[in-house]
Amino acid sequence: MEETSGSVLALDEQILERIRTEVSRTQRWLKFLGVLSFILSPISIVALFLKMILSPGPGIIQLIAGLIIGGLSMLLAAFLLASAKKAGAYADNGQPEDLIRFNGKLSVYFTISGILILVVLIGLILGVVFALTSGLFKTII
Amino acid sequence: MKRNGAQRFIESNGTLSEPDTFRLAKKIQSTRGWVSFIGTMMIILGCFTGLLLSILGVVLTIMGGWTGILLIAMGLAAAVIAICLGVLLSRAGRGAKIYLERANQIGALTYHEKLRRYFSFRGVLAIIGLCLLGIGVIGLIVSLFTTGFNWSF
Repeated sequence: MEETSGSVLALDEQILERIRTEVSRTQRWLKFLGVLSFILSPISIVALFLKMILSPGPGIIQLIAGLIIGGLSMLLAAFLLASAKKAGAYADNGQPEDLIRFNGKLSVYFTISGILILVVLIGLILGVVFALTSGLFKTII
Repeated sequence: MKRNGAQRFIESNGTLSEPDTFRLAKKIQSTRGWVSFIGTMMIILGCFTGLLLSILGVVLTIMGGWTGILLIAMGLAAAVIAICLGVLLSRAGRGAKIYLERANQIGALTYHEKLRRYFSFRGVLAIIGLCLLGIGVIGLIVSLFTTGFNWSF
């Protein structure tokens, strides 16, 4: 993008109209997924608490991990709903500002998702290294 | 006089001004890297999970028992779903790259189209998951009634 300016990247009316149709069709699924995540995340947190109360054990790390994952999925759901709102506004009004904001919300959503994947990957690698260096590997052998 | 959405769209000529285009391109650029990364990771992890579950399934099948076949089926389904989602995201990332680097408008359209397909696919998967959950809950209730609320299965 460094060598291309805004005028070169300009989108003509036909393309914008087709993008508007795509954004309009995306909006329904974004709303559905956002609402579903918003409902399921608190349920999973409550289920985790119930499990902790009914069968208390060495689960404090599990509880913290569950709370973090539940909180993050609620945050992601909030961004999905926000992007759905902007997508709906763009589909209705065709204002460029709404298209930019829709893409902005999606950008944050994918950034958080990407960081989450990175954290999980690092945790997985650390877990494998820890398992190999600790007694587990020796036990298997 | 209050203008409705259609009027505002006509007045804005349905086009983006140069600063707006630049801002849109900036947003797409910041998304592109993560979209491609998530897509690639999904393909890799999908293949890995599918392979792992399939190997485990084959071992269990050789040892005897139907759980191995179930595991193979689950592994293949997980791999296919993850690869499909990953491919859609990778193509969205490629579309964004074409738009930003070659200034090709079709790239911007591809980017939005692939993202729409990605979210549609995820939505359909969520519906299927909810249906399976519903069937599971109904099955649990029916089995509780037929066993006379005996919790020790």
